[in-house]
Amino acid sequence: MTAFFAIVKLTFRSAIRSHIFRLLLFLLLFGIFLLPFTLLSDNTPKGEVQIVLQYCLGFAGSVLCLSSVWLACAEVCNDVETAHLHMIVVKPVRRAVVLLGKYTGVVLIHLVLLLIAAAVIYIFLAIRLSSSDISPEDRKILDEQVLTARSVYRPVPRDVEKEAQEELARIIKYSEEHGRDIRMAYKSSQGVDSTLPDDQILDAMYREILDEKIKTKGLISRGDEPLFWEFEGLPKNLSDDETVFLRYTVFVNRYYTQNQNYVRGIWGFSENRARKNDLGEETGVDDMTAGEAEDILTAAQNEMAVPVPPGRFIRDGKARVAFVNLDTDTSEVNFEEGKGPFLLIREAGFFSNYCRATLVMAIGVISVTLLASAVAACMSLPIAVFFSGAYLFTGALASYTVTSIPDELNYKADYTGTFGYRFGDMLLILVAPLQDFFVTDCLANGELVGFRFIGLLFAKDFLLRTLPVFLLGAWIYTRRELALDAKRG
Amino acid sequence: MVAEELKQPEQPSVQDDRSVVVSAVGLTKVFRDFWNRPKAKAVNDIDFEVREGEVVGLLGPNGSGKSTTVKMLLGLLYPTGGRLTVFGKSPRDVENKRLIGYLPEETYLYKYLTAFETLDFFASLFGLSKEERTRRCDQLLNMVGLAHARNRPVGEFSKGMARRIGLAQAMINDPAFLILDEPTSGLDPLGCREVKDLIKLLKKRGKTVIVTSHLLSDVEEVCDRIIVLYGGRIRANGSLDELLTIRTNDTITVPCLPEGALDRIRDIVRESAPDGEMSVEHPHLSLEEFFVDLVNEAKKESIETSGSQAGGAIAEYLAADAPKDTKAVLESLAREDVPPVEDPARILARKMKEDAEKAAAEAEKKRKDELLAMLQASAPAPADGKSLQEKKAAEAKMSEANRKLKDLLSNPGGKKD
Repeated sequence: MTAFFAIVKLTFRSAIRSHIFRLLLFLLLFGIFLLPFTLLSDNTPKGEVQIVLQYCLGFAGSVLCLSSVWLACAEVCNDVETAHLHMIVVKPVRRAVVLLGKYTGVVLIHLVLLLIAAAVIYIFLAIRLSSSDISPEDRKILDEQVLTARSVYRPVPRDVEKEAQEELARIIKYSEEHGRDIRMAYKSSQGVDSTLPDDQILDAMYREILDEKIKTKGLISRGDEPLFWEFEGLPKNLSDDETVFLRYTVFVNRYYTQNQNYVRGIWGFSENRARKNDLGEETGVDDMTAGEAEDILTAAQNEMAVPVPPGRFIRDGKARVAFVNLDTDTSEVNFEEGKGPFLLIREAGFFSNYCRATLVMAIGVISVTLLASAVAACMSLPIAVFFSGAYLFTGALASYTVTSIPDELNYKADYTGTFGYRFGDMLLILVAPLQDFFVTDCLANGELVGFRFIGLLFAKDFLLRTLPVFLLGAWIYTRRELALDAKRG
Repeated sequence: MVAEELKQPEQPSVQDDRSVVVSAVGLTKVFRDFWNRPKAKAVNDIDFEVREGEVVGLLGPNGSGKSTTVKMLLGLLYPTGGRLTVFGKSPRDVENKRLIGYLPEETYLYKYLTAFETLDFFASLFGLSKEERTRRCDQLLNMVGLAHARNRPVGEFSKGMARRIGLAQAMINDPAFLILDEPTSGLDPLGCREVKDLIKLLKKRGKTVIVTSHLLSDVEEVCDRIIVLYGGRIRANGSLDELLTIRTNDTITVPCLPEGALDRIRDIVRESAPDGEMSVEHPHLSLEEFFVDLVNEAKKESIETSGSQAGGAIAEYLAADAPKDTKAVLESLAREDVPPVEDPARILARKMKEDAEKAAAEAEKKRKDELLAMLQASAPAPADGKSLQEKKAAEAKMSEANRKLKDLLSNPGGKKD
């Protein structure tokens, strides 16, 4: 171990002397201290705090990841190319130990910097929050929506196929009631071969309805027709002191648009409350309780406290939420899939969540350095840097491709989508997407970074994706003819 | 043909039962291009052995395959063909490397480490304890004359100083087998002298050393045996005595002879060898000997230098049974007249060889005895054996050398090499 620690120490010292590392360090300082003053928030304390959490910490993590890629490549490659490694590998130290020592040295310096950056940002935030110019209302919003760690519960996913079947059945029923032959009408309207059997016509109709439903990606509220979302797996023993929050984003006119507007709507929440008559006799159970009608800002993240106490809102871990579009001027209100509504329930404190977010970034630094070390172990410096960058870029792109096509059914209608989804999915078997390691948006939105998520991330991105690459790199490193790659000597 | 004029590879003539440190059989190294096509055959089917306690010089012009061979010995390159073992194991065996010390042709040091930190780092790679590392580093720094630069970053060192640090790191583990690639490159004559003394000391302690050098005089002075490579093949392999002795000539060294004595000697020699060429001249110091004497005088006058200083005591851990300092090593080596203990087989082999030569030299010896008897009869008095012109030329040459060396000394270590 003496040899290992000697190499770690040497790498640590060497890294500090790298000019590019110093440049990245300068960028890091810029990110921590100057970035909050260069970005515009919505001028609310909540917005300011969210900017610090999302961008400062995210920027620090990004810079450290870049720096770790560069340094890992430089530390491993330079020693080979300048033949300094000849002086080391002729001593009784295994090459795998040399590589591991160099990796550990680079990782250590970045983890120390990450820790310092995270501490500085936290202190900066604490100082900002201690100022007296934050009103009690703003402070309450901050405490409830940002400086907390809430689990996010998503509604039970839509069964689009079932919805399509139900709609088809409804159309057929309506046609029959009104004495129309929907099959013939479909044939003539679509120019379909009239000799086609009925079942094939119905199948074509079903496909069309299904595609339409998939394309919308969400639910559409037309007029006063209510939309419902079911939630399952919610905590069962919440006290009534707790508050459950509802988060959602709505879009007008069906299609996703960033144009902001106001629509009027009303939310309803399941409430298992006994219904009584004037005499106080129980006449049944109230299923839903309506909130207050309100003007809702579209294309923006909205959050509201569920007015029903958790004890009545959640029953056996299940709850129901409904929305009614009250705006007669707006024909349709669209709820995109992945944009809510979600339920948020507090599980831990902010500091704990902050530490977890930092831990996720640390896993990112560890994984990225592992990858860069592996690549550098068998390539020259420029190729190693290029390859590492390409790996990270590919991971980011693949992840984006896959997440932008959330439903597997979606690609059935589009060959380009099919290819993109399949290719991205295949790449993600091998490639760890860099954005996985940045959970600052969760932190800024007061969402819990769960240990299960961290464990899965570690297993998936570190153990299954980057560690095998590192082992392969180390294997090649131990078998390289090092003297062949020395630029001198 | 040139190849025919070169000595054919030979194995040591005397049977040697010392253990084999390096064994190469049919060793071949072919460098290939990106498409795996053969580009150059750097080492071409060579066989050699290096035995324990030998100091072997690996000679050859640039591109002859010396460095490739050394790199294969160290596991930095892998043989394309043949078999290569070091201490009976593959050169890539990690544990084997505890026994090896290596000084590369260029000393690759981490510029930001100080001299002490550099040695400490290399000592750490051997897993030595902190106390042991500190002890060895201090002793080695003292030995290579860099104790005063202990805390200076090696990036500020001159080439000679870096070379000394390189030499020190090669010996940090007290290796049984040392590979020194151009060990005197970049060193001043004093440093060269010390390195050569060190190699002699290592040999005395039974260490095995391979030295590669372009400076043939260095190799000649310290090596028992040389292997000459050219074009990736061994062109000569044998002891210096076997390869360098000119058995057709004789040299006799005597004190200055009086007038007339030389003429009588010439007459006797002409009688015995009427057709042979004959020359009579004064023996002279080598330039290195002259320089070392001069620097030693300067040292006595306390002229300071910021560069490396003459090496101090040999590191204690390296000199368990050795004299305390370099000077003492020299003196002891000069006094070293006790023959090493030989095994019966070697004695027998040597006797047989001597007997064979004895008969052939009998008649010649008789002639020499006659000549020597006459020389002894002559009184050793100062004599002017050369003409006045020759004497003046020699003096002028010496004066020129003296001036150059003094210039050199007046600016000691001020510049990087």
